[in-house]
Amino acid sequence: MVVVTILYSVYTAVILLGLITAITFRKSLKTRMLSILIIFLLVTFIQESILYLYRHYIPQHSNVVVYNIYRPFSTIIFAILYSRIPIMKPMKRIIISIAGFYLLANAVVYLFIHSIFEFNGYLGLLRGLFITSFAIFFLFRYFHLDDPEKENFWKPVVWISTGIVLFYPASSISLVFQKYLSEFTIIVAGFKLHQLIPQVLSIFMYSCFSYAFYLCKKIA
Amino acid sequence: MQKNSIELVLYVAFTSLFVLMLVIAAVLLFRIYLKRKNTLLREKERMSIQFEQTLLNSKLEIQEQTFTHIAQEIHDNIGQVLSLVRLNLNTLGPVRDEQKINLMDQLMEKAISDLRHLSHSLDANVILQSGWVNAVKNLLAAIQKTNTCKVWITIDEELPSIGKEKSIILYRMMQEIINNILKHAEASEIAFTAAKKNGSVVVAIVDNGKGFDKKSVAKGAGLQNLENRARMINAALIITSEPGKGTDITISIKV
Repeated sequence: MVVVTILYSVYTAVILLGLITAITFRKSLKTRMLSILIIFLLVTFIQESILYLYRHYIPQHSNVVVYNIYRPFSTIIFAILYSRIPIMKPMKRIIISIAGFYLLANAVVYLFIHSIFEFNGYLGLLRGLFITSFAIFFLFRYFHLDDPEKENFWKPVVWISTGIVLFYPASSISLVFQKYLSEFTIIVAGFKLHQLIPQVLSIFMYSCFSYAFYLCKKIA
Repeated sequence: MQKNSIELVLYVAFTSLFVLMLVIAAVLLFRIYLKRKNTLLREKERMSIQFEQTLLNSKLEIQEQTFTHIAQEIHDNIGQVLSLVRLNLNTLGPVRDEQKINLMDQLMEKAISDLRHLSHSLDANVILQSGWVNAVKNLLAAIQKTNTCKVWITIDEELPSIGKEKSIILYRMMQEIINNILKHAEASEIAFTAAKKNGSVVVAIVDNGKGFDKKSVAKGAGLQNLENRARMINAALIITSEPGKGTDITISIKV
């Protein structure tokens, strides 16, 4: 239980660190169209803090609805982020279409198929797939750049994308198989494996974000 | 139970597709990375060859210029003096003419002195022994003696060493600049400063001569030589000049 609390505290602290770094270097973030991440980190931090309290005081309460709302929200945030980056201009339409499709899929599922209070693995997997695709699109565009100045300028987004590419696939896959994995209850350091993987990787991702924000300031 | 199995199969299928996409993306990104690395290597090699060629051309140009300088010195100074001595020797009669002998003695002394100057100005060892700063100081002192120009010298006490090769090339640049001032600038004052600034040795020569318009004046051999030599020692060369406002040449060399 202590390990769980420590890990959760580190996780929340890393998000908070990302948020503070983003707010501190907001002017530098603006030049790279990354300001939207301030909103994302703020929402994530508030949500995770509230959910922690919920888990602590009302453990039987389900948090599925929160994540069902958070998933389309994060997809839109990353779609806006990547579509606004100038070097992503050729991909803009694709990104917007993907985000639109995802929103539509969410609306259809929660309006006609099942309640928003129920977990849907396909949507979770799709969210991971789409956000990872945006990051991979960016990395493709970045590695095709011929201008060293531009390369240097967009280096912070490479860090953000690296964090995304590592976190979202692993977290989406472990989330999808949560139901099946929980039957085996594989415990690592007092933590269920399917919960440990996303938690550790999200610490890595938000650390990448913080470093990227610092780079935004460093690389003027 | 049936529903659960179908769901699991679908999850596995989607997850496999997801992982496959990631693997393909990783392979493609790695290929792009390798391609870029090879392109960069090729570009680096090309630039290195180009640099070597430029360096070789510069060295040849400098050599050519030195030969021209020696030829001019021999023809204009030493040659003239020796011709005069020969003329005097030919007109020397059987009677001992003290006046002519004294004149020939003076002319021979001048020829020897000119030869020594020429030898010193070309000998890199002399520059290395006394240091480039002293060599430039001697050059400027010689100009001061002729009363054609007033010379102002300001040198930092603890000027760091710039290395042997750079010293020689920097001295040659100074010679070129001073020669240009004497030949073209019609200056009455020359100010020379050498200082240490932000980890660099910064040398400046300013004259109050007639100056020139950098835009309208095509780059002559002199300016081109200066630029080539600056490139050879990896120095920054800034030439500021305006007609009627003199010329300011600053050379900055990283230590």
